Amino acid sequence: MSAADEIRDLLFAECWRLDRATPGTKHVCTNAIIELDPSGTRAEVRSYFLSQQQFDDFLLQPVAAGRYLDTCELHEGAWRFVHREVLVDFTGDTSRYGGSGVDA
Amino acid sequence: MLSAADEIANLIYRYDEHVDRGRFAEAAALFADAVVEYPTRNVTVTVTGAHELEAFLRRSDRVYDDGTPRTLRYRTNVSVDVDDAAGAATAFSFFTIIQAAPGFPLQIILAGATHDGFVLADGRWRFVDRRVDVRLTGDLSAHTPEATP
Repeated sequence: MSAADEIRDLLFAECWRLDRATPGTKHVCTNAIIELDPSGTRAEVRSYFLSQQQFDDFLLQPVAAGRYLDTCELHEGAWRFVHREVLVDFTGDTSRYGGSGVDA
Repeated sequence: MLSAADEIANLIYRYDEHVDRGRFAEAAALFADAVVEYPTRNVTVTVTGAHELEAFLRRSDRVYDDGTPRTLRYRTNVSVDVDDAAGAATAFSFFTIIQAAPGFPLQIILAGATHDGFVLADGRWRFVDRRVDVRLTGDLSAHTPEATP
């Protein structure tokens, strides 16, 4: 697998982790611009997310939309996040969203 | 080192990012050597080069006080086909555009598919053509620029 493939896997795994942590919520992660450092061991990654929710009494709808600004590093053969900035650009009905405000 | 397919995907996403941030000149500059077609039911709008594309974006996207069109273009199903021998590539993708604006709740406003062509020139991939097929439209009232009196 290339570094870019491994970095995308890292992004998508984080979406799955968020989904498991927040029932009724789906995190879509797209538009990953991967800027790989010449060293090959560090990357700046900018991506979009869309959080969608649905419950028995809550129709499927987008509830938060924004961007992830990530710094990733290759550490002992595996890529990992060393920094993530979450920019929430737009919110919908967040009445069912997480405890402490918007957890994108 | 990124593969050709990854470089091309980056290029596609950079255009989306520039437009969503309201950086229309930077977005259009990626198409300096390209032709972009927007087929509609009756007529195909053809835009050639950066200058025309920037003008097209300013005509078709309302810009809000924060300097952006208050959109995000979710680009998915990106499939890149690289012809190494020819130094050329094509790509197919879907887009789903969401918007939220004052008095306009977060919603999907437009969805469709994009066909792109690229060439490798001086070691860099560049757009040479694009066709944007809008397939589904929602409420575009907050997207279209307000008519100037």
